Amino acid sequence: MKKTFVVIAFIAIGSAASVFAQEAVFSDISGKVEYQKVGADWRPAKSGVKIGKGTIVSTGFKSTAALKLDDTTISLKPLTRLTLEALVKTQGGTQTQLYLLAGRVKADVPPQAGRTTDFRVKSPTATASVRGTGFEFDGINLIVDRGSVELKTPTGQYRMIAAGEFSYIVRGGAVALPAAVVLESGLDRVADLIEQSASETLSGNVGTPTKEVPPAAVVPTGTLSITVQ
Amino acid sequence: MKKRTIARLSAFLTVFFLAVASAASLDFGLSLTNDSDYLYEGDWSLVQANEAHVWLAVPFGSSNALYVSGLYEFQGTFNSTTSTLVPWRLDLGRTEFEGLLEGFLGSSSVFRYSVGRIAVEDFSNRVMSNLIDGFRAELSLNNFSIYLGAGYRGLTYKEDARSLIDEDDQTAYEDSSVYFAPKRVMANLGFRLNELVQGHDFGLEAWGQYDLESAGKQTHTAYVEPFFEGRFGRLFRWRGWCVAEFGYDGEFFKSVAAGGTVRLSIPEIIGFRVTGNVAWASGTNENFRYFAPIRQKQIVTVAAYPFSDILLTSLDLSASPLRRVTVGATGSALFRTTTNAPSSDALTKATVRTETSGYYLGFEPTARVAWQAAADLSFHLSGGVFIPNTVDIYTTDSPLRWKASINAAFNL
Repeated sequence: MKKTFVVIAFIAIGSAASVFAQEAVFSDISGKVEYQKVGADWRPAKSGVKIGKGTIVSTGFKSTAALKLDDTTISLKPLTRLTLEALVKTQGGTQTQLYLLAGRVKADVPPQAGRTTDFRVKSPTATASVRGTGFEFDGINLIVDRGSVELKTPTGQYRMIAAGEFSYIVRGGAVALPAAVVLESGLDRVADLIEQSASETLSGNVGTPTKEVPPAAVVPTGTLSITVQ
Repeated sequence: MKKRTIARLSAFLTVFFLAVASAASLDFGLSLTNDSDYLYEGDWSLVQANEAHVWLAVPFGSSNALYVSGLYEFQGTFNSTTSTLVPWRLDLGRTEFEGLLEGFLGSSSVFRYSVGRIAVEDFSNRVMSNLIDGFRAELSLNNFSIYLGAGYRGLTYKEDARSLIDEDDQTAYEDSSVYFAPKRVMANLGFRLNELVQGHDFGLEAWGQYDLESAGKQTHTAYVEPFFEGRFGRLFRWRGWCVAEFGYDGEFFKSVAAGGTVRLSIPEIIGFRVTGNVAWASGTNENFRYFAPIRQKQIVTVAAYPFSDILLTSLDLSASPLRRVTVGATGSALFRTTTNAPSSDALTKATVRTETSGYYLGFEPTARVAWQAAADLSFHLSGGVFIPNTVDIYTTDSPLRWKASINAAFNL
């Protein structure tokens, strides 16, 4: 019995020892980009600077930055603020969690053979969990570059969004039917994407214009989560 | 006295408006639309319609809102001999109190409701799509939704309601002294399973209407409509549906309709889309009565055939060669499903042959250009021609029916 306990204790200690903190590295900085480490003042970001858990990153008007963690690249769009909540590397893979307070991020998370990549982007209204895919997400609108993403609302409604598709949360909190879109603009022209997605609806007379209905008053509430299959 | 009352009412409304506006994040807007339709079928006619649509949305908390809208409409119909003017029409548009309750039945549920003058439509958009005065409720549990609604149609404008189920409705519709739609109540119940199979939804709806008109014949109908919708890969999308109609007007009758749509979208090639569409509605024969939906709609752009005793096959091509510009063309072939006389309203100048045995009614090519000039301003230009079948069904002197339309919409 004692032997078993000692073996388990060794395994546990060994596993814990193999978990170590990871650092993200700034690259491709454009415009005003700042970061704030825990307990420190704001500093301008420069390419090659390493930041760790708890660091807040902020981009200004017309400013962008990229953060690299191993093979993963996180692109921060203008007027984005996020916190690195978890940057952990284990023998089995990596675990990354970002808290997106404002703005938009584009994540490129390539699959790693034999290792798991747990990548999450949380926001006040959403959580995106990624394993081996690429997507752009602003809390309501989602465009997928690569892989396949399950877009899920807090009430459990979900749809699979494949590479090259766009979806969003419609009035009332439902997930819109995904629509094939051009990826090059990402979510920069989200109004066009929504219009394109809505026009994909196969109802009514084909080719007949439909009258615009003024927007509804009730906006979706609650949270949104994305998980990748 | 009257002036004083109006002044007091105006003051009250102003104070109320400002109070509500300051107390809530009130939203409001105005939509202006112009529709001009030019028709030529041996003789010309012009239908001119202008509409101003105002709306107001007042949220109550984060989950409830009041939406009020109203419209003013001018309509004129002109031809070489007569002109008919409706200088103004004021009506209540969509006006509802709507809201949602999250966690209604556990954390994975949401309950939505709407009460007032609400918009309803069936999956196919062929049975019902209009405003009713009533309610709608929906409960969603994960990917399963169940919904129901009920309402009264007799307070909506007859041209919008297009309730043409029996001969009484047709008579009332053609009577210029009648403004409202026939007195009918309707109800619907349905469910939808999203992603039942990956990328595919399935659902079933039941619709019914009860005729409250005491004079003349009463016709009650019910509709059962299963449907599928989904996509194959990224570029193919499809949907299919069928409707079984059951009715009673002193004797029981039944009819059927079905349809399907397939679309290929290639957004990388100037937003190219090709869409195939088939829709069929039974006519009167030994097995079925003519299909009579709750709201009758014109199924193609130029010829005014209703969705009854008809088979429509169409192919539509569209593309966006420039940003905010969409061009498209549609070719539609129409067939009747019986050898009964086609709808007399469809082509006013075409005469049906006395002895006809064919089914092919004619072909309708149309083209369109849509330009979203700005976020709030759009233009839509379309035109087409219906070429009637003068070999089998219409007489050889039946003229082509041309139509050109321009629509402009400005949304504030």
